Amino acid sequence: MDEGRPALSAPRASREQHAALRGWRGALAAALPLAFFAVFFAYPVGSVIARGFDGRGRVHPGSVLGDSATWRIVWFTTWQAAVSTLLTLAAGLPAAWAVARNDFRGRALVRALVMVPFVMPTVVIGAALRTTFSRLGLDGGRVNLDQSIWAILIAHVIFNVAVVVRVVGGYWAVLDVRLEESARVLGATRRTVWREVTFPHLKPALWSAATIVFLFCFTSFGVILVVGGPRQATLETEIWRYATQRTDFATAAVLACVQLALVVTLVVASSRAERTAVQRFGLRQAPRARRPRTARDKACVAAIVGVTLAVLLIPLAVLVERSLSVGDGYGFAHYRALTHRDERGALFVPPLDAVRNSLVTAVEATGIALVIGGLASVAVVHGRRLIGRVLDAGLMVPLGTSAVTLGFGILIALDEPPLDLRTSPFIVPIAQAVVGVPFVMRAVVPMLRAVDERLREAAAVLGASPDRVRREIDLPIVRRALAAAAGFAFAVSLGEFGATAFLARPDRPTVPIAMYRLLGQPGASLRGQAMALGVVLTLITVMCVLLIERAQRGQRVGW
Amino acid sequence: MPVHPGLEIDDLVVRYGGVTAVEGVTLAVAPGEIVAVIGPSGCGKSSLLRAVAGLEPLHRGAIRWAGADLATVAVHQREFGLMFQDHVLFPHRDVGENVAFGLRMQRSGGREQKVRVSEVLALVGLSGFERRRVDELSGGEAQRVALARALAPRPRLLMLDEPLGSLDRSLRERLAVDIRTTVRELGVAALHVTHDQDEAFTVADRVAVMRGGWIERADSPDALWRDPRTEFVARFLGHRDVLPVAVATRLGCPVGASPDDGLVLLPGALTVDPNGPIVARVIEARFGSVAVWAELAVDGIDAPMMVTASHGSPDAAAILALVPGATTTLNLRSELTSPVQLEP
Amino acid sequence: MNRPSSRPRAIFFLVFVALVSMSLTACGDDADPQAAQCLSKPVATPIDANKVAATDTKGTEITLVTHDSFAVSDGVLAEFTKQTGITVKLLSSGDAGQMVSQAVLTAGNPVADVMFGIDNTLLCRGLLANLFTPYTSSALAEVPDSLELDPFHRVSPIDVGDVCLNYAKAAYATNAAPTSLDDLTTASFKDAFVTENPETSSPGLAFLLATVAKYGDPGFEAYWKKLRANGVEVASGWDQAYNESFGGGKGPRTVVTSYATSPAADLMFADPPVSAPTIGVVEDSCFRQIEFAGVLAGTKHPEAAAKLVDFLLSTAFQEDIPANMFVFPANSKASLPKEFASTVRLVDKPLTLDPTQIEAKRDDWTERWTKAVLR
Repeated sequence: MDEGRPALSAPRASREQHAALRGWRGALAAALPLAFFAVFFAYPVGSVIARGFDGRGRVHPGSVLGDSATWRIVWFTTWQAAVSTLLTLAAGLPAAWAVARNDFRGRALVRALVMVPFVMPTVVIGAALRTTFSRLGLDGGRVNLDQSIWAILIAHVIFNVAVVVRVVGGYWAVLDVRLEESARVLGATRRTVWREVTFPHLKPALWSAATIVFLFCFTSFGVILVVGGPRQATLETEIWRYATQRTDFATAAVLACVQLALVVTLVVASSRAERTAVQRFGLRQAPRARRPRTARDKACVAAIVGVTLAVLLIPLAVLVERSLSVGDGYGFAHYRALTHRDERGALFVPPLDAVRNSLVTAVEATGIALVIGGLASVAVVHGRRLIGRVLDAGLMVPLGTSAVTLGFGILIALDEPPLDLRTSPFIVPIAQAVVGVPFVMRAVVPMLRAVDERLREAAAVLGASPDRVRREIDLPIVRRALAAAAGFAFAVSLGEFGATAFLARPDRPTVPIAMYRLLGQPGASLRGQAMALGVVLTLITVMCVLLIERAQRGQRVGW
Repeated sequence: MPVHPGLEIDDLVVRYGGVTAVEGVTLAVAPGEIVAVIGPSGCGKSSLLRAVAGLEPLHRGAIRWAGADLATVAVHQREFGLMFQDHVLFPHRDVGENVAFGLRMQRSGGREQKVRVSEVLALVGLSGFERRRVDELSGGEAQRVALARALAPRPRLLMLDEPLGSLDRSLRERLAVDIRTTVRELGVAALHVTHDQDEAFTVADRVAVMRGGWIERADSPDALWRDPRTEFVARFLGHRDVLPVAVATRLGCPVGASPDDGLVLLPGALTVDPNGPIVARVIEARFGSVAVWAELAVDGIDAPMMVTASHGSPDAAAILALVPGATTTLNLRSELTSPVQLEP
Repeated sequence: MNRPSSRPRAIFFLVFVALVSMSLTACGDDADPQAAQCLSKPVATPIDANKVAATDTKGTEITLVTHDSFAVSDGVLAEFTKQTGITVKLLSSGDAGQMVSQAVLTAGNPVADVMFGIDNTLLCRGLLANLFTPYTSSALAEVPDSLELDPFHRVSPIDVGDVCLNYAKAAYATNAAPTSLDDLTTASFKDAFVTENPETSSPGLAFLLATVAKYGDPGFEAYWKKLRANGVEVASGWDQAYNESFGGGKGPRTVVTSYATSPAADLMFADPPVSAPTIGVVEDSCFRQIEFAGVLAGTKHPEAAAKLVDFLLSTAFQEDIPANMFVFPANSKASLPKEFASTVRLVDKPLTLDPTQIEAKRDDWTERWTKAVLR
């Protein structure tokens, strides 16, 4: 056997055929996610849009499309999301490299800490930006970033950098470093190696991350209203405004259609790009991360990690400062207050109960997301082509759909037995899982595609049934990706506000709901409690993400 | 002693889309027999192996074990072992877990697994490697682990796909012997695919030469070596000198074959002989690790001819005495020639 | 992507075609929303008060949907359960606008049995969508007539409050504090005022309505243009305006749109505690907000729902309102907590607008406001 020849012995057609899912298992793998998508997304959204077009509206839908203001908003929504995405990639890639390729003390903690802004209420990020701007003198005079597009972009980067660090970093970590080394030996400069070797191999993960970030920014709500101020409007905020403030479902439906059309176009294009970008690099002997050896490497890693954490944790610092600020000094009074219910009724339970509610909901949501997303990933990679493509793109669409469209959709679609889920306690974890599923898929699909088919064959020849192969080969290899995705799904659920706020049970608040309620009431002490609760949520998030990843490492996955 | 016919491959055809990889192969491997399939890259030998393993669908033909058709038997139910080229060890499991994998699939007990794992690891000379990570193994160790993994579940048929592919020569030779010894001891049927004829000869009882999807020749190493029958087989086995009969006759080599056919000269067929009938010009003479050899140009033959002799033999001294550019005479021993069918 | 593909564009095109065709088939109804009819006779049959009293409601569970500022003290709802055997499940659905929109969307098959928190700015929208079943609670006798905007009692007034300009007393220890809307346009209040976007905030809308009530239409536009020239800051919500920009009385902005009860809240929750309110109220700037509750049409438990409305009007609930939601009880028999009684009151002459007029014009006003202030 010639050295260095790629170890692909059989043509592609046969691989796919061998791996194809047939029979009831294949049907189930595809059917469950499809049903989930249909019942909890397509049907509600279809219903609410149909309702908007039923002629009862005061506004002619055509006039909305004909209004140049509509297209200005479409344009602004799109470009701010695109620019946010590019900036997030630029900010996230160095950090992704630092945590994926280098082993250093506290790496797991860094990986967990980047998730913090993810669960941080927008209000806190907004306040942190404001504080920072005013400290730096950027809130007036010649340069005023407050309530500007820059504030929006910065907030989007802070919120979403975790996506890049973890989605791209997860993939980068298992990319065979020898590919790069051999290119270096062949005389390539660092830049050439990046362009010719690393970048092409990372492309699927980059597409994944970019798509998620774009969709988040495309539908971001709190950041636009709170950080951007009243002058900024996107499709998301306009849909919310027309549907909830004006009760104008017709206009909202037209805008929702435009949003949907753009998002569908984007996810179809990006899932295609991701698919064609996948290179089977054979996840087989990927090395473990190494400690940075040269002084230059050490300095690089330290600088990147330092700057990233500093920027991400400024909001946390503001949060902690406010949670400790009691009267004119500092103390733990707000934390002590978390354990008992205020006799006034801002919260119907002691604030710490919200933590329990959040955790229970997050566990449920993560479980649903892992099952649905995992099955969908298998169906995408090994199932029938058409169904796979529908799932691949379709399950991303909810990320780019406004919470109002979905929330109102569920209200009018799932309103009769057996599916009267409007006030069911399950609707919250389900709605959160709708957001978690794309994370699972974007983490698992590229991994699954890159798993060396011959590992599966080797297992089959050794007597493993197709089911067993998935359990023994695919699962352990994608477990790391799955754990990363679970961490995300968990954090998304912990920090999720939109869907939860829709039909919340105030006597069973999650932490973000509790914080929101505390912040909505007058009184500095309630505000302090909200901040303290935010700190607790942050700690819990970091701990949970660490635990999830540790559990994964406990499985003795070799890389 | 064999109580059943073992593996029978009958008129097998494997296709990928429009490309035919295996074109009507018929081959049998009896229990306890080691058959090597050799051939150049792309001759279909790996596809043949994959089809036997059940990894490729059959376009036509049948594969039987002990007389029973395997068409409806899934890969994982065939109880065959397959050792991949590049070993394909599971990266997420350590050596012991890799080796125990097949045993786990058979649901054997934990204790039994442990015993068997250490048994086969001992067999391949890797006792005590159970807890090693697979990415810490050297190439040779990884191959041995792969062999151990394939052997552990006691397969009815062991298939080896270029098992020694990426190893250096000395390791390859040693492992080839190891494989033969191990397989012999276990008495299983084995199908060994390689592109290296030395490896095939070392390991196999019978060698099948594949070409363009079909088997050109299958016989014992000895018979194959002495009587390759076709120019392709002869050249693939490393015989350099294949002459058309007409040329051979002109050189003074009387053969009874038809004048359209050719003649392969086995090593030692040509000797330096002052009284020899063939006049040749010396190109170069060299000292090799196994033998001494010289290349000579003979009038009327395009390719240089090769004369070899083992060290210490009288012929060797004659070869080493040759001076490049000088003219000498050669003799041809007809008992070391064999008629072959020439390539068109 | 390795090769160019037309598929994404094709899908976009298909969706676009579907969109346009839907928009063409949908018959546009550009007519005035007939807001004026909102106070005309309801279609639903009223709930019979005698039947309510006679019905045994033990073991019934009903749902109360509220906006997300709803709060009630521990044990108050338990009291209701003790009296009637009815358990109340709470549901909150965003702000009042979102709550009403959701109710309009689910009219006839509501998610809850009783709604609390629809105010006079949204009242007509709810009434036009026939959200409520009329019910005349006997407790309405204790509610001033001026609060009962719906003559058919589809909704009952539960609380009342004023949205007013607040100012930080400390900032005006030497300078004159604002006393009128006009003051804010003068040089002494340059860059001092922060208010909320009426498109996204309920107090913001109330304050816009106050200016409409004061200066008329189109006079309010000129007023806002002057405010803009004087450096008004607009926040998306009350929290950003009051807690961030105004800083609860310690921020960079010194005048804010908030509530008449802010001084009471300040007194109750100031940290460190204060002996007198640090927040002042501009009484001439107040717009009156009345919040109502009503039995949602389509409820399966009309009698139990009616009992809950009775309870919301009873002193047990009414006396709990001020300290929780910082508005005044509608029931005149309910007594006020001492912080309220001593520091705040409903203003004598609030600015008001007719609900029908609000419903007919509010989108127009907010759009013109947006043009005048933000664009």
